[in-house]
Amino acid sequence: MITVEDLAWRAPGAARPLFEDMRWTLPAGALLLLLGPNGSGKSTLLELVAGIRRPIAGRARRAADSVLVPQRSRPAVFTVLDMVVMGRARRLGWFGRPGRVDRAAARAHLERLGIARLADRPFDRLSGGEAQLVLIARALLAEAPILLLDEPTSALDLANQARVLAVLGELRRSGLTLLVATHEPGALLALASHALLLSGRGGWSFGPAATIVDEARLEGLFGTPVQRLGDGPPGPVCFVPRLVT
Amino acid sequence: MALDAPVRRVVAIPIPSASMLVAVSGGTERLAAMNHLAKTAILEGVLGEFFPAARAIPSDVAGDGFVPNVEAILARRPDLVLQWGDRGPDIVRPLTEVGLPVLLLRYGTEDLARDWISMLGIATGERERAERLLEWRAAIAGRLTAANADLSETARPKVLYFLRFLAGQQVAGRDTYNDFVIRLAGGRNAAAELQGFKPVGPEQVLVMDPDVILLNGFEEALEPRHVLQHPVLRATRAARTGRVYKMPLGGYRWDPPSQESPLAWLWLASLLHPERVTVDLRATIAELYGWLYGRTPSAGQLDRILRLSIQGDAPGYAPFNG
Amino acid sequence: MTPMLAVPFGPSRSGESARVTVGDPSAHPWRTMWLWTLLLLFPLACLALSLGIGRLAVPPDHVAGILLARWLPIEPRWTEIEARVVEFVRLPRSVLALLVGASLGMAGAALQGVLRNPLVGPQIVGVSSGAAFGGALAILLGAADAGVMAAAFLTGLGSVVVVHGLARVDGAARPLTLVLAGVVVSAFAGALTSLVSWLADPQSTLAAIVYWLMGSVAAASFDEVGLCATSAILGGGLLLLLAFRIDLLSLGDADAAALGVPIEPVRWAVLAAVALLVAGTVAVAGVVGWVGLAVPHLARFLVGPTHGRLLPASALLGGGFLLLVDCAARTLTAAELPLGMLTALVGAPVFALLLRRGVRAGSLA
Repeated sequence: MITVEDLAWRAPGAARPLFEDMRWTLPAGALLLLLGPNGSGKSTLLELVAGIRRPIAGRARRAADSVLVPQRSRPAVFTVLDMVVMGRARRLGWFGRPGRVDRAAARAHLERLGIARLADRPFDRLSGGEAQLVLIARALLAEAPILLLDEPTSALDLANQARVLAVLGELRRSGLTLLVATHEPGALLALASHALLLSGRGGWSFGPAATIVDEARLEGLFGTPVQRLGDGPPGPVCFVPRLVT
Repeated sequence: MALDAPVRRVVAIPIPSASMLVAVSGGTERLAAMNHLAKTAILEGVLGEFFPAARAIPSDVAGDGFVPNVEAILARRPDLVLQWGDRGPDIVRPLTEVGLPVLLLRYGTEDLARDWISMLGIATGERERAERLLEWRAAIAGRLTAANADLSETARPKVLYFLRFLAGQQVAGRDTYNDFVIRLAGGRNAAAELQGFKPVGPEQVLVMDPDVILLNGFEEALEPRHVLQHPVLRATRAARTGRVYKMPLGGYRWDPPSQESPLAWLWLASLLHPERVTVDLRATIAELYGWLYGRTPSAGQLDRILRLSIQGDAPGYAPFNG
Repeated sequence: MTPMLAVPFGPSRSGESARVTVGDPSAHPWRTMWLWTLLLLFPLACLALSLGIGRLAVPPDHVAGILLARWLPIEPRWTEIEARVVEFVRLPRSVLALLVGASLGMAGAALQGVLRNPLVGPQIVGVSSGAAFGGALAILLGAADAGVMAAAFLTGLGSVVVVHGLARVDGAARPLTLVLAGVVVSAFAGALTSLVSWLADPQSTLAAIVYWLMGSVAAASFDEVGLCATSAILGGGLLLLLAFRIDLLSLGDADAAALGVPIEPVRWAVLAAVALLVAGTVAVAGVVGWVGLAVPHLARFLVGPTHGRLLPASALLGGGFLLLVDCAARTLTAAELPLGMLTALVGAPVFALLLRRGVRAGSLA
């Protein structure tokens, strides 16, 4: 369970807060979609929930440990296996070192995400989709009940998007609590239980995904006409900008 | 440079020049100011005891690297400034630009030391004193050369002079004043394969295997026991036979060239060849000091000059005990 | 000013050749085993060489006999002088060179990891110059080895604290800012060292300070070996224990934070360990540059970027390298050559070569 109370954030030097007086509660096992324009504070909110940042007001409480899957990682010379094993860092403590068991677990997670063949490849030689899957595998190895994902499907081609989405679906079914920041609500809508819309101008709205994500709200959110394609969920849905000619 | 009259107020920047001026002019009266290091050198030796007034002489006329403090020098109204002549123009130009008469001094060999003495003699109007000093110098050198003339190369003991010992060992190679002194006193430089002052390791010292080791007078804490008890150097012939000596400190240190150099030559020669060079060093020192500084050293002062407390029992040192 | 460039840690996108590491875990296990055997043999071979050569010719069997006579009943066939040279000159000196090189290699590898900058070393982030100031001050005040080491550690650590304090923004220090702050603090510590030299008596302590700053193990004693071994074991041990965390930090603060690992305490611990290692070397050998910068690169090329392997490999290579350099320093001429000068003469071109490789492979943008 995640509880947010009176939470507020303002970028350093900015006049107005990105959001304030934010209050919501997310039950365990839910999947929250985080939507909003660029710069509306989606990544920051994930970091506030992760405890990496301190809010200017209010607080975000978690009932369990969380792990963040960043949008991208620095190019690192480590192999994929070394990279994934780092997910064990907190569990191993200050002086711990990954052992045979940890490496086996890392291989198992790579297997689970269908990228076992990448294990000995250098991390910085991977494609964007492969790297995203590796970062997810690394987060999974931490075995935290809460997973925070920052735009996991952006910059991925269709096949890679499909793989990441399939993995997210599987994680949701396995009972993890997921927070997913995204620009493409359509494909994730079928998986989401809740949604949080951030305007970037102080406003926010929180509610069940099915009711809160619609053309009208998205138009308000992004300030451009939006068209919905498809009739799901449960069927496929897509929101696209409506071009005014 | 032409001086109209004997100088009366001298500012001495090179370290040995202050004590040499005292020697040539017979006192500290004409020393208007000096480098603080020159003052330290005077105060820590016997000159400080002979001339307590030296304590009051200003020592603010030069900074790091002998850079002159022109304003402080002008305030002393000197009629002559002594400065190094071989350390670049930057430490000279500030003096000449304000019109100060400057005497440039070069250093490091016997010939240059003789030049200092005659130049200071001319400048201070003490030409006769200077010439007498030079004659004495030449006489001692001549006496030692004659005494050692028939020495074969192998009959000359191998002598190693340590310019530094306690923190990083440095020895004197050829083309150093110490090399000249060792030769003159009837030894041969154990480090002759090196040029100038060079750092060496203890293993190299064992390879050189000197018969006699001379320790510098600069490192105050340094004593012969540092060599005699050194885990490696105690294996040298010098240490095994106890022939390790620290250079005495008189009116000036005896290692570099100074007005007292002939005393150092005699001291070393009598240590190396007692059968050839017999000298009553204590009497010679007393005689020279009486004439040079107008003072008679006490027995205690002579003991301290020759460092009897740390090497009075060393082989060959018996003649120096009072 | 090039050492201050923000360079991404390691190769990024092109040039497959540049990223092949010999000790790649994907390589065959026997290959890895051979590599580590060679890495272990390298410093041992250098040690044997260092004990065997010198200005005094001592036959190898005499050297071995002198060393083994401590434990084995061997009839001495060697001279007293030979025994003294091997036991009191070559042995402490060689072990000291080994320890200094190993300490600097590890310190450099750890720094490059936690600061995520391949172009840093103990010298560049101010630890060396800070420690040098403390050591020089201690010499000025007449301290002996342990005092010099304590002062060097305090000022070395102090420099790191100031560097870190300067570079800290929002509770965290950015690598590039940290390097820049290191330059600032280095300059300041350098000025303080000049001040100490200025205050020192040119007839006695100044020469000691100047000689010590140049870097040398010529006057090695078993006391110094003990001192340097203490700092090497404490500092190096701490780094080895933290190796996995250093891996994580080398990914970047964001990644470490994302995985719920505290960053600053680990970085502090690593910097303290580095300060201790460097202080130990500075106290016994003065400032010996370049080893901490160049050696970790060679080690990374051989065993890969993981610090669990990189740190020991840097220690082994650094120790062997400095042994070789010291052999040259004491045998090439009758006079001792300054160690710091030789490490720069060897280290700088090696580093330039590595840099050039990296640039050509596009990894050092």
